[in-house]
Amino acid sequence: MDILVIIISLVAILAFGVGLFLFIQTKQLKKTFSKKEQEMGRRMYELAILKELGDRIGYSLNVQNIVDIITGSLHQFIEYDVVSYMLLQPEKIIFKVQLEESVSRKFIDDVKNRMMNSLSALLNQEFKNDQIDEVLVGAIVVDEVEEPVRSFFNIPLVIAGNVVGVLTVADTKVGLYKEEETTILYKITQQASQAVTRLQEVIKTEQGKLNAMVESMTEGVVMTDKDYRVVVANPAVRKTIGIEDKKDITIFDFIDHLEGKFDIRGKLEESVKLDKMLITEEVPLHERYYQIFVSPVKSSLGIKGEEIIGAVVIFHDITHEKELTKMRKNFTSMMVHELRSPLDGIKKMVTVLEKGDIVKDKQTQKEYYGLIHQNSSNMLDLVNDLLDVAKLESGKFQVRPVPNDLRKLITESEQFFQSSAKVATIMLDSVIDKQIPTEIQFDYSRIGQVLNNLISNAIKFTFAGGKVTIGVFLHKKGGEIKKEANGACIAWAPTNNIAELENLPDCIIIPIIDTGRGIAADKISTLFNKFTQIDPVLEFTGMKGTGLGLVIAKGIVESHHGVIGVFSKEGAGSTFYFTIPI
Amino acid sequence: MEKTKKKILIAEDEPATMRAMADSIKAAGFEVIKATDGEQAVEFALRDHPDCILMDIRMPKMDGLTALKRIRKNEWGKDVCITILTNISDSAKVDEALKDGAFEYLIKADWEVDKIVKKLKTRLGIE
Repeated sequence: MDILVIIISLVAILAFGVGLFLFIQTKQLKKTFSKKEQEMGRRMYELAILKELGDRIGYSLNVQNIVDIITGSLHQFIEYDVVSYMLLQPEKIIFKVQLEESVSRKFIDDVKNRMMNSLSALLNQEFKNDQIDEVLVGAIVVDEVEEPVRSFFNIPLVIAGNVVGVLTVADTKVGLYKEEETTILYKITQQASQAVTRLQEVIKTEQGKLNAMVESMTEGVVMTDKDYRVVVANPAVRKTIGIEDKKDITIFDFIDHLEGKFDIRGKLEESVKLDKMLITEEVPLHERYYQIFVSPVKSSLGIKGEEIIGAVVIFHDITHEKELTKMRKNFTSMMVHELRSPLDGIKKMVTVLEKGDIVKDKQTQKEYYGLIHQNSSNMLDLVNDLLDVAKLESGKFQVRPVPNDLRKLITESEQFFQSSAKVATIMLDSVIDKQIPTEIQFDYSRIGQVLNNLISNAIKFTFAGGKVTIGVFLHKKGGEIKKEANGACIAWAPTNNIAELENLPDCIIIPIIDTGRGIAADKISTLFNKFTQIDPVLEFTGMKGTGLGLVIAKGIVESHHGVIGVFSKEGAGSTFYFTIPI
Repeated sequence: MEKTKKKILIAEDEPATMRAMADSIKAAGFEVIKATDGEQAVEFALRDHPDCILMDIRMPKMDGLTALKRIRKNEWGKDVCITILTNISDSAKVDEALKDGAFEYLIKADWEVDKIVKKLKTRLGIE
C-alpha cells in the first residue's frame, strides 16, 4: 500500500515539474519569434522609403513644380506681361510661358531667343530650336498686339551649384525692372534654389544611410522593380545565393542558384498580385536554412496615389534558431527519458514484489527496496534540478543570503565527500585562509549545493591516486590573485582573464583544484550550458548525474553576484572556482 | 534427461527494470544473460548465442539499433529472435529497427513482465 502511495506522489510531482518546465520553454520561444516578425515589418518599411527616395534625386517633377509655384505667385510682387522659364532636361529643354496679358508671337520669339542666348552664355553651349519643348498658358497670343519687348529681366536657376535653366519676366512697358523688382526676383529664386539644393542633399544623405544599412544588413535583401529587374542586391544576399563575384545581377541568377528550392519569380508575382507579404518557412539553401519574406513595395507619392513599384525579398537565416530548436527538443526528450526509465523500473519491481512468488528471501527483498529507493531519489533530484533551471530561466530563482559561517560549510562538505574520495583512492582536503571573516552573507544550502556539485565532479573526473583540494581565500579589489592564494598556502594561480578577476570587488574566492584528466578547450565554453551537459558525464563514468549541476551552480553563484569559471588543460587537471562578494 | 534451459539475453541499462525482468524470466524457467550497454549486448550475443534477445533502444556506449545491426551482420545473428524494448516517443527508431530486422517491438511502459514472459514462451515454443 505504502509503495503505491509513493508512486502516485512521484507521478504527480513529475507531471507538475515537467509540465511547468515545458510551459516556460514554449512561452520564451513564442516571444522570440514574434519579435523577429516585428523587426521584419520595420525593415520592409525602411526599404520602401529607400526605393521612394531613390526616385527623387536629380531632374524630376519637383524642380518644375517649384518653378511653377514661383511663377504662379510672382505677379503679386512684380508687374509683367509674360513670365517664362526654360528648364534643362536630359533630352530637351522645357520652355513654359505664362501670359498675363496677350502679346504677339514675335514678342514670345524675342523672349525665347534672349533666353536661349542667356542659357548658351551660362553653359557655354549652343542650343537649337528643335530641342525646345514649348508650352503656353494664360492669355492668348494675339498677333495684332504689335508692342515689342521693352522691359526684360533674366535670372539663372541654379541647383546644387549647377545651372538648370533660366527664369524671365518681360513686358511691353519700358523701364519696369529696376533695383527693387530685380532684388525681389533674385531673393525668391535664390530661396527656392537653396531649398531644393538642401532637399536634394538631405535625400542623398538619407539614401546613403539607408544604402549603408541595406548593405550591412545581415539578412539578404533583393529588390526588383515591376519588370523583375534587380534594383538592389546587398552583399548578404549575394553570399546566400552564391553570386558574390558577379557585377550585374539579374533575376535569372537567382532562379539558377536557388536550384528550384524556392520559386522566387512565382512568389514575387503572387505577392504583387495579392498585395500582401508572403512568408515561406524553412527553405534549405547550401547547408543553411532560411525563412523568406516576399513583399510588394509601394509608393504613396506617385500621381495615382498608392502604387506598387516593385517587390522585395528578404532571406532570414534561421539555421541557428533551427539548431536551438533541435537542441531543445533533444534536451526535452532526453529529460523525459531520464525520468520515465527509472519510474518504469520502479513499477516493474513493485509488480514483481506484489506477486510474491518470485522474490522469496529477505536479501533479495532488501535489494529490490534498495533499487526502488535509489531510482526514486535520482528522479527527485532530477525534478528538483529541472525546477531550479526553469526558475533560473524565467528569472524567478531566488537565494536568501544571511550571515553564515563559511568555514563550517566548507568543512562539512569536505567531510561529506571523504568516504567517496577514499573509495576512489583520491586525497581530498581543504585549505582555508585564516583571514576570512567568521560571518559572511550567503545562502547556506544553495552554496552548499554549489560545493557539492563541484567537489563531486572533481572526484568523478580525477583518476585513482589523484588529489582534490578545496581552497578558500580572501581577495581585495586589484590584488594579485596568485599572491593572495599563495599567502593562504593555496598553490594556485589563474591562467587567463587575470585582469578581469583581479578587478573584482572584495570577495572570497573558492577554487576546487583537481589533478584529473582536464577539459579540452573547445568543450569549456559549453560546460555551463544546459543543452550540452548530459552525454559527457555519462560517457566518462557511466554514472548518472543530472547533468544540470553546473548550470544551476552558475545560477546560484550569479544570484549572489559572484562569478564562476574554470581553468583547465587537457591532461593537467582542472580548477573550477567561484566567488562570494563580501 | 534434463532439458537445457533456453537462454535469453537482456540488454537494458536501467538497473531496476533489468532486475525485475531478469528475475521474472528466470523464475519462468529461462537462463538469463545480462548486458548493460550495446557493446556488451553484441559481445555476449556472439559469445553465448542466446535463443532470444530483448534489446533496449537507448543505452550508453552503443545504442540498441546499432547493436541490432551488428548482430544481424553476423552469420549466426542473421535469424535470431530480437525484440526491441522501447518507449512510445521513439516511433521513428522503432520503424528503423523493424526495417533492420527486429522481429517485433514491445513498449516498455505498457508491457508487464509476465506478458513479456508469455511472449517469449510463445516464440520459443514452450508452454
